[in-house]
Amino acid sequence: MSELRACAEYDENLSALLDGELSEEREAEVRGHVAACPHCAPRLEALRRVDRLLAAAPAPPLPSDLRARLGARIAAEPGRRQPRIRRPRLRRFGPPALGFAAAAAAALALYLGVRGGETPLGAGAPARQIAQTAPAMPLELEDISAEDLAIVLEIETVEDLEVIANLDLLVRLVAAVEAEAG
Amino acid sequence: MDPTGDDRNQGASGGLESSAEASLRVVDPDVRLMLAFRDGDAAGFDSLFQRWASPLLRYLERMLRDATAAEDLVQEAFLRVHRARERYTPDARFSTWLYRIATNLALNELRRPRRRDPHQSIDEEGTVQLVADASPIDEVAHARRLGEAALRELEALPERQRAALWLTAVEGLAYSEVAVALDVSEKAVKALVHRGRSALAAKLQQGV
Repeated sequence: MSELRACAEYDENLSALLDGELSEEREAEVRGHVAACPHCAPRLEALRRVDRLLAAAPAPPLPSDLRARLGARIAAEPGRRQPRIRRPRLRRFGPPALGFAAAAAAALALYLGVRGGETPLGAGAPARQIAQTAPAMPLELEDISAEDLAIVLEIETVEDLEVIANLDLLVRLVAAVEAEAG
Repeated sequence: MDPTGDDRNQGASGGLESSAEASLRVVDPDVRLMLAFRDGDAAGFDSLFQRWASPLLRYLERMLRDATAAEDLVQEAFLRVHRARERYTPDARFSTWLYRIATNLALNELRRPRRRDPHQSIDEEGTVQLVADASPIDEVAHARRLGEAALRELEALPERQRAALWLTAVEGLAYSEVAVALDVSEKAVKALVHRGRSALAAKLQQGV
């Protein structure tokens, strides 16, 4: 009976022994008991077997798209800067800016025509004709991709377009169009 | 450090001693990756995901018994790591922090009222399977069935026993780290691990 009581006192330490959580002194004591105890030796082995079986359990395969799905969730986090042109900025100027917008659309129409191999007005068409035609064309600034607008404005990247606070480049573009028309 | 974004365990104690805190930067490569990520190196986050997504998925599957839910929580755990990057300061190994986030997510998920109780059917299946496996045909198949039975019995343990035993016996966390992950004392971890391990040992001995 006293032997069983001793075993009960050691029992929780058997797990701690397996987990390397005992002090050196306590570990030596527990190992000494186990070595001499007909109850605790098989008990320790049974506990160790549990660990072996659990550790041998197959790991579930990691879905190949899990990182991409996480990336999408991260990108959708509120407050994250979207690398997209904020189109409403081009409208802040109101009616006085409409002429700029029309001219930019005209320039873009010319650019797109040349780039696409189509020349609706001809690459060398007079700028005034372009400017007059542009407002009636289906192209509007809101429909223009940021990439195309960036190219027309001769800037390096779409991100650069976002930092145009005063539309200086657009103004210069319009001036160029008007000079050619004149 | 707010490790979880979860309000259930605010005021948790159990962090490592301050003398150990400084050494974390040196001894834990994952802490270094996280610090690099905090400082703007996105590759640090990718490396942490590659290193820890699989073990985390394995742990969460054991906790939730639901592969789809486990995948969702792996994403959620890393999302929280991502969100926390700017205020990250290491006061434990990175894995301890990550497992704490994951454990809280898992425990919250298990407490959701709409979630069905998975214990019932698993307990019944597991018991039947163990008895049926009493006459193994060959060693490999027998070992596989034993492993599956052990997992089923693990999954039938109370949540914290399950978590403590898995993190200790399989993932190799120290009791002090499991204590942080589960927000309990080291003494409690010692008891949880032993009770869980004893229960599994008894079940496996009954069945074989």
